[in-house]
Amino acid sequence: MPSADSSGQADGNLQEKVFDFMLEIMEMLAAVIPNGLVGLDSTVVRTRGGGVAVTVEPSEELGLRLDIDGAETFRLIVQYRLVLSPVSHLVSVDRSTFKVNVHGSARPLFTVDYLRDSGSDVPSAHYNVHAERQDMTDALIATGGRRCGKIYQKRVAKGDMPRFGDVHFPTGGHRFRPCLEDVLEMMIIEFGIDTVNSASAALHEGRRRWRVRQLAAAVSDDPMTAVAELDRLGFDVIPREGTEVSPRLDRLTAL
Amino acid sequence: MVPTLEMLTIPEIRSRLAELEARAGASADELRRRADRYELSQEGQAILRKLEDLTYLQEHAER
Repeated sequence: MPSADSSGQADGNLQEKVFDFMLEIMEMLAAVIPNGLVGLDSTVVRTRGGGVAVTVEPSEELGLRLDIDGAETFRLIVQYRLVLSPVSHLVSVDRSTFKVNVHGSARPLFTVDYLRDSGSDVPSAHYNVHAERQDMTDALIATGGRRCGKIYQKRVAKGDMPRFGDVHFPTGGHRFRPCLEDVLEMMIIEFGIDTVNSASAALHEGRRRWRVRQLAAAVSDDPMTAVAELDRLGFDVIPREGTEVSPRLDRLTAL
Repeated sequence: MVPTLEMLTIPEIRSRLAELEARAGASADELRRRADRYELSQEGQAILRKLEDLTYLQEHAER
């Protein structure tokens, strides 16, 4: 899957960048999902400041159809929100959502979200599992008013119960979060969805691309750690004059 | 199959938002309330996703 986190060459060709971003995902999906319903649509606006914002979602309104033995079983909703800076011309993922619905159900199974600006009480990358368990409900009722406890207590005050699905399970922060390929492969392994024969190779290649891009972004977050590790491996790395080497603590420490 | 890319203006976004709320027969807030209670059909959830995406784009376009 393309990551717009780290990628961003400054060519300013927005439409081509968005098109390539989507095409790479669609090609991976086509090599995994046998029903062929893997189209993606994007909508774009220009901002007053000269940037652009983009939303990307499946052409299939209910999400990508995942079948078991040819029968519709799940819907995988894949959403991206991208922004292109007018200054740097870099494309960034502002938000992504991977959500799995069971066919016909109003309650999702689980979601995997990424929010570039998630605030202090929501992990930038997290799972929500829409299950029920009384112990969890009881624990959430007992949270008091601290942090997310305010939200749970508000639900209680309204006569609703806090839910397992409201809990955000952190999963790797900005750089080490799961990619779409991880969710798809989980659906293959755990639920046995139908796949094309090429699925494994396509998932591995997509995951490799993702991790290489995220690794590059992680290096830019903390260049001196990268330099130290390369030195240990036998490389000489000499920064050019004026090179910025300070770590991005916001990225390194974010939940 | 190729990806589609559509550029919208602020008036076009407003028009789409109104169309979607009319199609749903409910406001975005009402759809959100139903979704929060797991009472919104997948078709309704799809409309809510579009409403929220368009609202996101509108906010960026007006910045």
